Amino acid sequence: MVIPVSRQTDEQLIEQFRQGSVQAFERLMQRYRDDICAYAYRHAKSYEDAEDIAQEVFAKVYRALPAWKPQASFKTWLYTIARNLCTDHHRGRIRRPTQSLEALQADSSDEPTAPDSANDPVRNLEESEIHTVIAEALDQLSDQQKEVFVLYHYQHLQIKEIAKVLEIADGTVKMHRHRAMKKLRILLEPYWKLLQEG
Amino acid sequence: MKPCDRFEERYTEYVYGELNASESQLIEAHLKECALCAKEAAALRRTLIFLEREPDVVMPQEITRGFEQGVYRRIAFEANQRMVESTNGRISKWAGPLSHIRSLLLPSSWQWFVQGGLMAASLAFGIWIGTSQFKSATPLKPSSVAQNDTAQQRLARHWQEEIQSGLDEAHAERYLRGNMNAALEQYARLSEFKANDTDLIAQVQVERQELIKRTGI
Ligand SMILES: [Zn+2]
Repeated sequence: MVIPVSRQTDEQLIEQFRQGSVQAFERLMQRYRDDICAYAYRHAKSYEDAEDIAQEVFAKVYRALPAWKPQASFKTWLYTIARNLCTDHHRGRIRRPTQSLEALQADSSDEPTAPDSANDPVRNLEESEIHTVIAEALDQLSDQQKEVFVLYHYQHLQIKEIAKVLEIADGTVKMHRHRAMKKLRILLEPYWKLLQEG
Repeated sequence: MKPCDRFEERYTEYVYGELNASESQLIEAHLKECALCAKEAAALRRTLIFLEREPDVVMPQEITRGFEQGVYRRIAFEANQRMVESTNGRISKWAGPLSHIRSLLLPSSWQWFVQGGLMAASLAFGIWIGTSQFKSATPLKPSSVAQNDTAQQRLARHWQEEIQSGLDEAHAERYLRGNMNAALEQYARLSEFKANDTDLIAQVQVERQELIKRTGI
């Protein structure tokens, strides 16, 4: 009996790819392309850069898959590769620290202050503005906090999966996530209050 | 004034709905008694609701359309790079990836396009679109071997051209496959070609041996 491709597991597709099926690789790529692009976009903040990163992720997978020995799920491995490439991409660029980031680095406490723009009388937040506001808030998190939060909240990875990708303990993942939430709460409060009033 | 430490650290789990029934009850009982904690938990919940307002990241179509081809080009480029870098350049290392790519581009695949009722013109169009869409940072050019190149450089160029021309055909194939039933048939037929993989590897090996003879390595 032939199993419909859509219901084949990652493991089945990997096995087919190892036996020479390029289609199996393409199915895997189709299955995860959007997720990996979105993840890369959260880091790179440009569609073009996100595409570059995501393409490189799958090129790496293509090269490495024949010799890959699963220690966790394919998905976890995929995100590990993606995360490393996002980090490489980030390091390859001249960092332009924003005012608020500098302020955060100078301040060793875990309590961020809302950026000045939060006090703007923005009555109607458009979707794109919400995206910008949230992206700026995420940038104020520590690298680990942001990574955990993005993987959990946007990529819908489980705590255990995130722990594998980042090679940290489950409890540490939860701690980073909670700290991220507390910072986001402070940074985003002015905005949701505005929406509440409006 | 801060929320109570021993409850506070569970509030993220609480608002994400990860606590079991008894844990939730414990938290909720506390929130009824402690105004500070109730305010904190409510704020976290409002933050989550605000985060949910953000639309999902959706890549523009003009970017995702050329996605697969970009991946294949990177694979080929990397294989080529490694060949250039390797001192003995053994074919066995590349036979796998290259045969995959090349298996999609056997010259006889042209016959299938024609048999599938597809115009040669649309194929050419596909190649044109496929090629022009590539903005990826590959230094591949339709170059020819220059007189003053070293033997190693000639070999590298030859391979570049091999890969380049093959990939262009792969683009066309994918474009055509993307929009019609005939293309799906084509997809099934292409998989039949894969049986020829071993022939391809042998063929590539022969080509390479000849090139080595010609260039005098
Ligand atoms: Zn309390």
